[in-house]
Parts: sequence; structure tokens; C-alpha cells
Amino acid sequence: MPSERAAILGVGMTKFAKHQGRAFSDLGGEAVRECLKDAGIEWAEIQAVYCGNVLAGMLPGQRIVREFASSDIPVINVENACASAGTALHLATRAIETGQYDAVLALGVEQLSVLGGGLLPQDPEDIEVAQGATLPAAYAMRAKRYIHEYGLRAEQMALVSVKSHRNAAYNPYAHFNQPWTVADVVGSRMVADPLTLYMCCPNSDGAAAAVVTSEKLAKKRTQSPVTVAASVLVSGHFNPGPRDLTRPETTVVASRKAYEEAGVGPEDLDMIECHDAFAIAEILYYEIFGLAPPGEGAALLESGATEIGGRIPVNPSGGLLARGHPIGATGLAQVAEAYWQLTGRAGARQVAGRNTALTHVTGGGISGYDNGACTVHILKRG
Amino acid sequence: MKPLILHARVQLEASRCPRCDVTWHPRRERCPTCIQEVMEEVLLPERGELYSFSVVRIGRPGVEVPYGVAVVDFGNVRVFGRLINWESARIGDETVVMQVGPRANAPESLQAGSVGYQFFVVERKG
Repeated sequence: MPSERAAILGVGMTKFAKHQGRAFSDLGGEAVRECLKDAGIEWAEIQAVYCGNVLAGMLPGQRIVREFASSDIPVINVENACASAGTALHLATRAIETGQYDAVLALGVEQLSVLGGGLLPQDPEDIEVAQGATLPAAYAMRAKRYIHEYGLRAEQMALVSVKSHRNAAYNPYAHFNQPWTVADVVGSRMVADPLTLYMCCPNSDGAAAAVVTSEKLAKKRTQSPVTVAASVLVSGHFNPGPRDLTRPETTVVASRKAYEEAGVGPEDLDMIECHDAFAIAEILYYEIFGLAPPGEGAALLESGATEIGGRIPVNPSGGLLARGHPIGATGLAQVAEAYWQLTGRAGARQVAGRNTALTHVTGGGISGYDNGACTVHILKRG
Repeated sequence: MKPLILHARVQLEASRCPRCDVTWHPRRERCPTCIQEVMEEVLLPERGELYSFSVVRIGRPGVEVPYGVAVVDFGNVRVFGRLINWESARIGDETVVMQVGPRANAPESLQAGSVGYQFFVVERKG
């Protein structure tokens, strides 16, 4: 057991969108200011910053922190692909739990519009990337195998995207605010068979942040703090062997460890924010998280159980598919959503249960791993 | 896939760690599990089974699309590569490995992406 429990004292984020022409530091700075305001904490009380980012180059955290007074505190920059912000939160949590600090900031920021669109850059020396592997293709092969093993119609897979877009219409921070129909999703341009464009998440710009403190400090400022009941980082098992494309190993291990650490099971969760970078992923993760037996993820979705009003709402924010995916910021945008939900501040997308939430991001894109990094966090109120 | 000239059916070279009894592709000088330099050179079977595949229709700048990609199961190791005849492919099909080269006047970008091995479905299963 850690000597001290970590709590989320407040969160903040920018709208996820294409923020062309906006300075990187301005984008990150907005999330930090919103977060400090929400937590009711002064910058001077923050003892360290953990900054998730993938593509901005050197010292992204310092470029943001220097906009604030007295920035002579440790800034730790964290790159773990799409799990960068989740990893920043993991480090922040462990630093609090071990008593190293009392109050730190976890930050994630990414500006993908500077790439000009298209596929995310990957290591050109990677043997799979060099042969034409792309991230959509990796998930397309998961989908194809899943269809082979269990059967899944394009219209069923499209429902993930339809749900996410319906939810995002109620989220002012989301990249997309328009509902889409099954016909829109299925009829959009094919990216990598069987995944169409609207089954793939957008490249977004944005930033998100959370103030992480000791539970002791949080209790002085709020009656029922949101605590971090589990914070798990798994970096993947390098394996040339029989990788099961329908059960990505990093998420299997990370979710099992998170349930153990928090002492909860899937039946205890009130909501989930998961890494739906591609529509098939959400269906696979239902099954890995234990919400549905293997092969029955689509049936769970069709039952309405994962809608905002359902038994276990998944991605009420709109997820990566519709809230958007600034890769180094996403993990903390999920935590912002979970925090708003648990504290009853999610407005029209508020879920019914307000006790326990799970957030999950994965970072992939190199050969030999299902994913190179995965974080799972379980947050509890009270 | 007209720009490609199929040279020959080949077998992929791999490495096997006799201590761990694990086969690795591509070849490795050192076993990632036991960190010992005891690797044996082995050839993967001539035929594998198409485990999954896709058709890339939005690719990287300068790379011609569409093209097929696949993961082929060789029993003790699954290998990623391009798939030549994706139009008629089905999961479970028997697949061989082709050594391929570009035709002489192919664009440089295509040459870079297509030299080496690619998979070719030879037999429908089931």
C-alpha cells in the first residue's frame, strides 16, 4: 500500500479542434490556467510538472511553464506515444503516493495540425512501417480477424462512432459536435478495409491538465475528493510469437492490474473512457475490461448498455473518435471527463453513477508489441 | 501490383533460441528473453496461414495505394508483410513468401517500399 493516496483536485482542458496558428505554449497554458482555477490552487503551490507530449520536440513542458511566474520547479517531459498523458498522470500519482510531493501538475499537450493532416509519423526504420504498416491498417487487421472469429457487420462497428458522435454533441470541448448516422459512417471513404474514415479518430490539437495532490491536502479543500484508486502503466511484452489481434496484450495486463490495485471489478464501474482510436477498438476493449464475453462486444453495444443512460456508459465525452485525439493530451482529457462526471458537472452528458470511473489509453505503432504503452486509471469519489 | 516482378518463392530466415525454444523474426543476434548470443539460424516453413489482412487505401506521401498488408502465421511466429493478391484473399488461406523486386522504371518511392519479401496466397482453405 502506498503511504499516501493521490487525489485529483481539479482539471482543465482546451477545446479539442484544429487550432492552426495558435502557439503551442498558449494551448498548453490555457489548460494549465483552467486547471489551477478549477482546483482553487495557486501556481506557487505546484511542486513539479509532468508533461505528456509526442511530437513538439525539445522541452515542451518548459515552453508552457515559462509562461507562469516562478517556474524553477522540476519539469519532467514524458513521451509514450498516445499514452503520454496517461503516463504523466501515472508519474504524478506515484510521486504523491510515495510522499515525494504534496501537489503536482499532470499536463498533456499536442498540436497535430502542424503535420498538415494524414497519417501520424512512425519510426521509418521499423521493419513493419518500412513495409507499409500504418496505424489504421493495424486496427483494420484486428477488425478483420475479429470478423473472422466472431462475425461483425460494418453497420454494427459503425455504431461505436455513432454513439461517440451523439455524446460529443453535448460536449463543448469536443472536436466534432455533429451527430452521424450509421449510413454516414459506413458510406465514408475507405481508409484500410474494413475501416472507413468515420471509424478513425481525427488528428486534433489540444491540451488537458489535472492537479494531483495528496488525499490529505485534498480533504482540506473539498468534502469528498476524487482519489486515484489505481494507476497502472504497462509497456508491452516484446513478442514475435502468436499475437492475438483480438485481445491486445497490454490492455489485458493493465486492466487486470488496475482492478487488483483498486480492489474493484467491472461490475463496480459507473463509466469508462477508453482508447477508441478506431471503432473496432472499443468493441475489443469491452471484452478485455470484462463488460462482455469474447465475441459479444457488439451485442453489448447494440443493447444500449454503453450509452450515457445505459448500465455502463463508455466514452460519454465522445471518445477519441469524436472528442478528438491530440495524442499527447488524450489521457488527461479522459481524466477531466471522469472528474466532471464523478463530481456531477458533466451537464447534458452526465451519467447516473458517480462513484467509480476507469480511463484507458494505449500507445502503439512499433513492431513486436501489441502496444508499446498502456495506462489504466481508476478514479473514485469519496 | 503491376510494377512488381516476382522472382521466386523463398523461405524467411529467422532465429531460434535453443535455451528458450522461441523463434524470432526478423533474425536476431541475441535472444531478447535470456540475452544470450546462442541463436540458431532457422528457416520458417514454406507455407503459412493468412491470419489477417487489410488493404491500405490512404498511405504515406509518395507510396502508391492501394496495397495489401497481412499477418501470416507460420506456426510458432506471426510475420507482417505486404500481400500481393489481396483482391481474392480470405483469412485461413495458404500463403507463400515471394522475393520481389521492382521493375526497372518504377518510382523510387515504390522501390523503397517493395524490395524484399511479400506474401502471396496460393490456396484457399475451407
